[in-house]
Amino acid sequence: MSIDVRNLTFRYDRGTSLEKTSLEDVSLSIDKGEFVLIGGEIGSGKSTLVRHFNGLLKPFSGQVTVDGMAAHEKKVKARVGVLFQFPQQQLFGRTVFEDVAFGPRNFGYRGNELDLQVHSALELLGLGKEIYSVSPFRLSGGQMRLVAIAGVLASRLDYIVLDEPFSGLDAENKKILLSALRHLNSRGTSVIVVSHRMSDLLSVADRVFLLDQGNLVFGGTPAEYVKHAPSHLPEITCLMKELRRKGFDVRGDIFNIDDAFSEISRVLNTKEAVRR
Amino acid sequence: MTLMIEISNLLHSYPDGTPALNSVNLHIGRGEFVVIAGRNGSGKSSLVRHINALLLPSGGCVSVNGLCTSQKKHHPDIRRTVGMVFQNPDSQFVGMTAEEDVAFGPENLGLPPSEIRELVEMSLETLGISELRSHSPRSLSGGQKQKVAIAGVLAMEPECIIFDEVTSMLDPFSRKEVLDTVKRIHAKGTTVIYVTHRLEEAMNADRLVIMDSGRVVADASPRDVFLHHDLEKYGIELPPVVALSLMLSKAGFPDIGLALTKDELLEALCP
Ligand SMILES: Nc1ncnc2c1ncn2[C@@H]1O[C@H](COP(=O)(O)OP(=O)(O)O)[C@@H](O)[C@H]1O
Ligand SMILES: Nc1ncnc2c1ncn2[C@@H]1O[C@H](COP(=O)(O)OP(=O)(O)O)[C@@H](O)[C@H]1O
Ligand SMILES: [Mg+2]
Ligand SMILES: [Mg+2]
Repeated sequence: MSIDVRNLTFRYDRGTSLEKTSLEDVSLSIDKGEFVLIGGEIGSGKSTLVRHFNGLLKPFSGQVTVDGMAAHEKKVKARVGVLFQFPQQQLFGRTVFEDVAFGPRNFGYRGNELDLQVHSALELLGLGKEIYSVSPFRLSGGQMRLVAIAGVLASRLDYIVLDEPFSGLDAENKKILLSALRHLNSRGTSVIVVSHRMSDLLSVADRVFLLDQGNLVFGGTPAEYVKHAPSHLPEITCLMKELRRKGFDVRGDIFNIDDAFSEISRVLNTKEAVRR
Repeated sequence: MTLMIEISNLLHSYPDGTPALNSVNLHIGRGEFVVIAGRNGSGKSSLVRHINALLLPSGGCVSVNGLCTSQKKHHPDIRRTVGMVFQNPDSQFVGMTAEEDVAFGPENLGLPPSEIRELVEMSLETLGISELRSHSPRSLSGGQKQKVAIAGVLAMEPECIIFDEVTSMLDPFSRKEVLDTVKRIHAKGTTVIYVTHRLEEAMNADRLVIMDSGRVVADASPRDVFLHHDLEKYGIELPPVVALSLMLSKAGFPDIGLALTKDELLEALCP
């Protein structure tokens, strides 16, 4: 069970003077149950790539298959949920509840089961009952994003793809979303996140893919990634690397503050002990 | 410093009754670089939308260069003085091409064509997007669109520009480019009000204002705000380096002190 991308090339505006290659011969495969991070600079093709996963775009050449079926087949829609980069544009229900229910209803859920899925998705994202009957357009930007995300989660699909889900979310909401994604992933859902918030995700992802100008330039584990791509590293990782260069004996594969804190404290304590 | 924006006891409730601002007092001087931070829903957008009269006070007063926003006759002047760039670049595009989009503002001001052309050139240049002039919005990336939106505001030569979470949908590379542009615009004398929840972007600010539940809960230099306020309480994440330096200095390494940047922390650790 996997999403397989084989030699995918894609061009927007085919046959016009604007035609340009946005993805060039990209091959990768994402297994069921994996937590995958797709990174790269703006315009590198991240959104274009993931729009192929549920058949929103069709390859110019090459293939994209989901569990063996071509990604643009209708059946695939019931397996892959995609949250776009500007999820506000994905909202349309009269109420928050209606909005979140739209996806699962589409997949045939009704009655209690539907209610349950909507409730548990909203709950997972820390959205309280008091907003269920509010119009989604009344919410703050961050809350709107969470509601759009809840719609994708409530559909209970095998693969969920989120394009820049953290942008526009504050620290609290980011934490909530991240733990919701980990929770779903631990129950077997594949989670594919397009994000430049590498520091949040490197310690969570199983695998990282990096795009550069439409080319896949890296695929591997977070630890391999640190060795590979110095210009895309979190600031904390850069700090640790520079400390090493200055003769500070700390580990180089550190992505978050807590690990950095224990590493630096350890070295400082050793130095202190030596001095005494 | 001459006072430019004066907000006194500002209250705001939306028509549906949602309270958004509660006795906000804020004075901003000409040429200042003020960062406003706070969690989602804390009232940042509601506050800054009062400064160019997109929203009007339910109580209290907002004035720009001495002109009070509650008098409708002042709105054209106020909106000329204060420009605004929003979070989502897609919703801001009005032209068929980048150039047309940037020209839209100055055209609306009724300036002569030669002057419009000059302003458009200058703005595209400042943003480093002259080569994108004939691109349609469809063929631009998010970061490029945001630069076009900023160029459009810049072309109207406002004295003050408000940036409302303009980098939140961009990748780190474009974010840095946009932030560098904002700094350049400020260096040329424009008053900058920069709304973000990424405190990394606040290090160069003269002042950091923190909002929570519709109130201003801190207003000082970034250094003083980090030292004297528990920002986690307000749902704000400290920049990693700042957080790490504070953790270390509180955990028995007081010499390290507060570091605002990676280089400051490196210097403190390996003098
Ligand atoms: N709808 C579109 N029409 C034409 N070109 C597009 C369209 N969407 C994206 N592009 C172009 O394709 C390239 C890849 O864009 P995208 O996949 O959005 O990158 P990313 O998500 O990594 O920022 C960019 O050069 C962008 O300008
Ligand atoms: N158009 C609106 N109608 C009703 N309530 C609104 C509207 N816009 C914002 N609010 C509410 O006002 C409060 C402040 O929101 P906002 O100023 O957008 O905060 P921020 O920009 O800090 O995220 C929130 O409770 C939000 O839900
Ligand atoms: Mg994208
Ligand atoms: Mg806002």
